[in-house]
Amino acid sequence: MDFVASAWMVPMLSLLAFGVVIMIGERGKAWTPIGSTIVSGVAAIFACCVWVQQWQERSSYTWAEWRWLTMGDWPVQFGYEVQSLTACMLVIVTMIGALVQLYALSYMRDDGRKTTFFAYISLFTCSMCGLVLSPNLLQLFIFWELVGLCSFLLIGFWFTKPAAREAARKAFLLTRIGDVGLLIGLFVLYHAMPNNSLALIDVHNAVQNGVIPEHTVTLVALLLFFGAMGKSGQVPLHTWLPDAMEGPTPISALIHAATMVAAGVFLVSRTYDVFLASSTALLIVAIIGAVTAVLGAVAALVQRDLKRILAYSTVSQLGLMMCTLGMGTQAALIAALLHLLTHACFKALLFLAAGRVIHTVHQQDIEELGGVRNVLPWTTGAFAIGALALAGMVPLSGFWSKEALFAVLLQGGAVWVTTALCVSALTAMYMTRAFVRVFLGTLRQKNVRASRDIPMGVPLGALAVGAIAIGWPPMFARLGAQLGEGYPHTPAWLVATSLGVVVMGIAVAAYVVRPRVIVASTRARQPSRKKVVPQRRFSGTGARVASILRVAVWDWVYRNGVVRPFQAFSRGMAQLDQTLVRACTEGIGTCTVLIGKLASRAHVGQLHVYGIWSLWGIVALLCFVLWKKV
Amino acid sequence: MTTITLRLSDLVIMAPECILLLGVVVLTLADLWMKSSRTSIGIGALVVLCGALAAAVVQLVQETDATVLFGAYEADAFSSLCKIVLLLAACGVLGIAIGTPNETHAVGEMYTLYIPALMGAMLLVSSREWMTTYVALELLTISTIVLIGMRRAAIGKEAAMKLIVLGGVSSAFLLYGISFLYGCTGTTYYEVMASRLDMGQDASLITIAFVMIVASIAVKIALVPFHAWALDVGAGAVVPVAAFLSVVSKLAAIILLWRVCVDVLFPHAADVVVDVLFVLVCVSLVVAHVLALRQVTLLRLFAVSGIAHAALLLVPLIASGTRPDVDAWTIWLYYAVAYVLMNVGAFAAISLTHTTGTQPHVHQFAGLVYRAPWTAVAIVCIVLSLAGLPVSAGFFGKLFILLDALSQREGTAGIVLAALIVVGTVISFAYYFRIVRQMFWRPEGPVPPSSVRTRWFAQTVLWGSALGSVALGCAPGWLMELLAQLIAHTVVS
Repeated sequence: MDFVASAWMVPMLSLLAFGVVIMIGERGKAWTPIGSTIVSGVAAIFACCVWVQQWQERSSYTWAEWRWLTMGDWPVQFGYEVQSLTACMLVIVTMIGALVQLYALSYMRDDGRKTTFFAYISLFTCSMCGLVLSPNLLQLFIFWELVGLCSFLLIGFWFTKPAAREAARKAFLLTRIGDVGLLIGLFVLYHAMPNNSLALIDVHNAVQNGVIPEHTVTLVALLLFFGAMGKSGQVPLHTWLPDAMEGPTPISALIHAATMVAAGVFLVSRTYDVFLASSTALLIVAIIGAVTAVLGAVAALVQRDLKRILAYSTVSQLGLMMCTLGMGTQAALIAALLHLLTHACFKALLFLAAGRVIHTVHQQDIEELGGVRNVLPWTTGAFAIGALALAGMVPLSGFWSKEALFAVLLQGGAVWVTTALCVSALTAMYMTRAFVRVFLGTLRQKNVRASRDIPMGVPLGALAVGAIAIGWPPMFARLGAQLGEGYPHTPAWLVATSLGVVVMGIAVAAYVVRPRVIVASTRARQPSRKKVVPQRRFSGTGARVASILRVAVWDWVYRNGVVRPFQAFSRGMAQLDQTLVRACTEGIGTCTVLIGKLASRAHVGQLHVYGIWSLWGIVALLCFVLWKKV
Repeated sequence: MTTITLRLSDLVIMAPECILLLGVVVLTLADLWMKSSRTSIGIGALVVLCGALAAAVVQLVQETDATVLFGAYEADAFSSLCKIVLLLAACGVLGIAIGTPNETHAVGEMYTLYIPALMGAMLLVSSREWMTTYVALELLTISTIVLIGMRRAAIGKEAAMKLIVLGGVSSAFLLYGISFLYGCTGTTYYEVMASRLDMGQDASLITIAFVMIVASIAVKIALVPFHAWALDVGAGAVVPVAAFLSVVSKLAAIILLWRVCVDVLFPHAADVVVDVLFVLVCVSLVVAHVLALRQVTLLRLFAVSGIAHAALLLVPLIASGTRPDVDAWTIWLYYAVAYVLMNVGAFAAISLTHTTGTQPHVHQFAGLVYRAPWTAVAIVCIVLSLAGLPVSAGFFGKLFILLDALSQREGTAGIVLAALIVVGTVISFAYYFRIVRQMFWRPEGPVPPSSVRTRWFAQTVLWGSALGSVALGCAPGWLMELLAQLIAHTVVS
C-alpha cells in the first residue's frame, strides 16, 4: 500500500471520529470515548507507516489538485504534501494525540461532558494534521485558525470556572493578534509573488531565485514570525500560555506543550527560505527567541503551580528553538526540529505525569505538595525521566537535541551559546525544584489512595520509553539525516561544559530546595497539629546567601523592573480604555441605538404618513437628479 | 395589424405559467368538492409548483430562447433560472404553510392563492412589454393582498388595506412614468422603446419618467424611503405569507428592476439611474440596519432586514454601471439563491417555534437549545448565513458583492458601498445574534416540554435551507461556475 500517497487518511480518520462522537453525543458516553481513542490509535499507526515509507523511499509527495473556489483569477487550492518534516510531525501529533486520548479515558472519567472533550481532541488532531500537511500557506492558515479554535474551546472546557473562561478569552485574543500579523504577511506575500501563488514550493522557488525584493522578504518574514510568536508563546505574546493551564491537563500535554504551540516553530521551518533571505529577520528571530528562553526559564523558577512551571518551561524551550532558527543555517533548521521532536515527547510525558499527580492528590501548588513518591512510585520515575531529559542529561533524548542546538548556536556566536547554557542551567534548577517539592518529603494530604490505572500508566510508560529511545545515538543521527543535510556536530568541550552546567544546576537547586519533612507532633492529644520542618532556608551559609540573593536581588528586580512598570503601563492602558476607547465605542453604540429609536418612532403605522413619505421621496429623488444634471 | 394567434408551441414556451394556471383552476374546483381536507389542497399546490419547476428546468436544460406574443414574453436562460429560484422559494413558503393552524377565514384558498401570486411574479420575469409587466405586477400584488387580508385578526385587515393604498401609489407612479415614455415613443415594448427614445429631444421628460419608474419599483422592493409599508404589512400577515412577501414578491420586483434598467433605462440615462439607485441603496443600507436594531417582533425584524438584503441585491447592478456582465448576473443570482435559502429557513424557524395566537417575538426562541437541540443547530446555520459569517452561503454572497463593488466601481462610490456593506454587516450581528443568544439562554421557571411542533414539511424546509446554506458556503465555486455557464450566452446575446 502506498501510505505516503494516502496520507490524507490520517486527518480524515480524526475528522470521522469527531463527527461520529459529536453526533452521538452524551448518549454514547460509555463507549464513544473508547471508540475515538481506538480510531486515533489507528491514525497514529497509519502515520507511522507513512513516516517509515517516506524514510525508506526518501520521496516527497504533493497533491494539490482540488480547486475549491476561484475568485477573480485567484484559485484557492487545497491538497496535501508529505515530506520528511511533515511525516515526522504527523507521527508526533497523532502519536501523542492517541496517548493523550487513552490517558483522558481515565482522567476525564467522571466529567459530565466527556464525549464533547473527546470530540474536541479529535477535531484538534484533525486540524493539526491538516496544518502539517498543508501544501500552501492559505490552507495552513485555515487550519492554523482551526487549531486556535480548538485550543480556545479546550482551555475553556470547564467554563464554569471564571479563571478558565478568562484564560480562554486571553488565549483567543493574544493568538488572534499574532494571527492578524500572519494574515497581513500572507497578503503581502500574495501580492509580491510573481504568479500570486501561496504554495510553499512556489514561495521556495521565488525566494531562491530572488524574484521578490529584499525589503518585502524581510517584511513577510517578520509578519510570519509575528504569527508564530502568538502561537508559540514568544515574548511579549507569551502570557496566554501559562494561563492556558486552566484547561484539563491532557490538553495541556497535547496542545500547549507538544503540538499546537510548536506550530509556530513549524511555520518558521516550513518557510525557512524566506527567513534565510533576510538577515534582519533572522536576527530578530534569534533575539526574541533568546529573550523568551531566558525569561521563560526565570519565570519557571519562581512559580508555585506545578503546571505553570511546566508551561513557562515550554515557553522557554520554544524560545530556544526560535533562537536556534535565528542562526540561519541548514544545521540550525535540523537542530531546532530535532529539539521540537524530543521536546514534544518529554514535555508531554512531564504534563501527563503532573496530571497523574494532580488527579491523585488534587493539589497543584508545589508548596502544598510533597512525598508523592510514596503514593505514585512509577509516576515519580516517569517524571524524573522527563525532567532529566528536559534538563539535558546524558543519555536521554533531550541531551542529544540540546547538543545539536549548542553546536549551531556556537557557530552563530558566543553570546548565543552562553545564553543557551544559562537557560540550560536554569532549566536544571527549576526542574529539580519542582521534583524535590512534589515528589520528595512527606505527603501532607490525607486519604490519598492511588489505584493501578492502566489508561494513565500506558501513555506515561510509552512516552518515557520514547524520551529515552529517541536519544539512542544511531537512531538520533539518522533522524537528523532524514530531516536534511548537515546534522551539526558538537565539539567535546562544549558537551562537557553543558553537562557540567546541568549537573551544577541540579546540585545548586538540590542544595537550596530541601524536601519538606513533616514530623508528627509529640503531643498525642492534638494529632492534627503537625510541625513543618522548613526547607533549610536559614541554616548554612550557602543557603542563606542563596536565599538572600533570591529574595533581595531577584524579587527586587522582578518587582521594580517588571511588575511595577507593567502595572503602571496596564493602569495607563486601562485608563485609556476607560476614557477614550470606551467613550468612542459606547458613543457609537449609543448613537446607533438612539437613531434606531428615532427611526422606529417615525414608523407610526399611519397610512397617510407613509403615503406622504413616498411622495417626498420621489420629490427628493427628482430634485437630486436635477441637481446632478445642473 | 397582424392578427393575434396563440399556437400550441407558444403555450409550450410558456409552460411553467400554464401549468400554474391549470393547477390553480383544478385545485379551486377540488377545494369545492372536498371541503374537509385542507392539507391535501396544500400538498396539491406543492405538486403543481413542482410541475412548473420541472417545466422550468426542462426549458433551462434545452436552452429555450424564444419570444411569444410578439415579443411581449421571452423565455431565456436567465428568466428560466429566476423562475426556478422563485418556484423553489414558493415551495419553501408552501412547506411552511402546510400544517400551520388556520388563522384565516379561508379553507383551501390559503394555499391556492399563492399560485396566481407566483404566476404574476414569473410573468414579471419574462415580460418584455410594459402592459404585460403592469398586469403581472397587479396579479402579484392583488393576490398577495387577499392572502394578507384573509387573516382573521384585525391587524391582517389593516395590513391589507395599507398594501392596497401603497400598492396603488406605486402603480400610479409606474403608469405615470410609462405614459411619458409611451408619449415619446408610441410603443410599449422595451426593445422598440429603447431604440426610439431620444435623449436629445425629450431629456427632462424621459428623466422624470425614469425616476418615476425606478421609484415605483422601489416601493415594491420597499427601499428606503418607500419602505414603511413593509414593516406593518410584514407584521400583519401570517408567517408563511410574510415569508412570501419577503422572498418571492421582493425578488420578483428586484428582477423587474434589473430587467427594466438593462433593457430600457441604462442605454439612455445610465448615469442618472445609477445615481438614483446609488442613493436609494445607500440610504436603505443605513436605515434598515439601524431600524432593525430596535425590532423585537420577529416579522418586523425580518421585514426590515429584508430591506437591507434587497439593497445588497442591487449593488451588482450599480457596480456594473452601464451594462452588467456575466459576473454581475452570476453574483446577483448567487446571492438571490442564498437569500432565498436563509430567509425561507428563518421563516420556517419562526413558524416552527411560534405559539398560535401571538405575534412572533424573539422570546419564542428562549432556551431552544435545551428544548430542541437539533432545530437550534439548524437555526444557528441559518443565522450564520443571514449575518454573513463563514462558512455559509450568505458569507460568500456578501463577499462576492463586496469585491464586485470594489473592483467594478472606481472612486469613492465603490468604497462608500463597500464601507456601508461592512458596517451594516457588523450592525446586523447585533440583531441576528439576539436570536442565538435567546436560544442559549436558559429561561427561568419550568421549561415547556417541547414547543417545537413536529411538522414534517416545515421541518424539511428548515433543514433544507440550513444544509443548503452550509453546502453553498462550503462549495461556493460550484454554483458560481454553473450559473455563469448557464447564463453566459443569454447575457452576451
